Amino acid sequence: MEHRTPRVNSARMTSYLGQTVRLTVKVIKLQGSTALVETSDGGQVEVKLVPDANVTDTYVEFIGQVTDAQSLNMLIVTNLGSDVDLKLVDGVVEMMHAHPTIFM
Amino acid sequence: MGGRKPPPQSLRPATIRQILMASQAHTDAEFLIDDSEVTQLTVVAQVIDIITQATNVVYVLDDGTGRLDGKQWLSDVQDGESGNATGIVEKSYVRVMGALKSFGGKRHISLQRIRPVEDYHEVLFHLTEALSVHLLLTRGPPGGGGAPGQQAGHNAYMEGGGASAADKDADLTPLQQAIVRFIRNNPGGKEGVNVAAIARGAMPNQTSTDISDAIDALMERGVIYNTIDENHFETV
Repeated sequence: MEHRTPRVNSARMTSYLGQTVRLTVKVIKLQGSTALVETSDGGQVEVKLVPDANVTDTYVEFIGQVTDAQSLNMLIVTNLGSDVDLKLVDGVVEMMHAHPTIFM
Repeated sequence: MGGRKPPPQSLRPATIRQILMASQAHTDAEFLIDDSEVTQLTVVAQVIDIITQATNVVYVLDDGTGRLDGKQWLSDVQDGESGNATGIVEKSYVRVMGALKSFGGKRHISLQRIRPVEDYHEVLFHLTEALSVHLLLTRGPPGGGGAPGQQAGHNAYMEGGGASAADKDADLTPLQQAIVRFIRNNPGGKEGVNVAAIARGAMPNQTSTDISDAIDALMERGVIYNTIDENHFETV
């Protein structure tokens, strides 16, 4: 069905080329219209931000379109504060992929 | 197998995908998720849109697995009550509680409560809890082949809080667990499940002495009880 935005990490992005996903990350660096981020599985991804993107926190969740294995076109950002357990996030990402009947 | 009846007003954590796929025997029937009746639901999701209408507010909820409207009737919102949706803005995560309704073929949650999620880990917790309850209902309580000491978090809401039934099940023997599972999966209504059915269905190749010993032990522990007579049982 429509309106599905699977939670992914960098390793799983290749399976979602062109699709809209959710990526929970730690922001490493903001430079102009892009953000360099660390994904829950420790990978690095470049996120192309929308013009007035309000990326204020250390940890954020992006909804965006996967352009290739290391880049995402941002649609929406949600600020998550300064304390998110990325290891736990990764566990949940993998758990959701292991049980597609209720998550996908 | 028919829908197992949870206690009335139990609160089921679920993903929006599960809610959209919930089955309904006919238009006025209860919704079933994993063959279990759903009365009250709780969902953690992101608010995509807020539509304020004359008599209600519609929150478009998206948890990544699908989208669902949450409808809050303004007449239900009393001044100063925490059901009031203050501080909820678009894109924020919320926890909602309410009943699943269908109107004109479209499902929505009639919201009793909506509150902001302060800590992102609650989003992760909810997904994990929804799966835990799904697995409990579809595979039965853990134990048997499960990793020792690895106690899955059971739904405290559904079992009436405190030590949940599944926690109590952890140290039952495999036969006792099979009997509990069998009774839970075969709701006999007020009558309970007949002992002969248990002996046939719970676990193959058991002697009647083993079965009756296991039933006695379960009775003693308060896991099951007699219903209409000493040959019919129901789980607590």
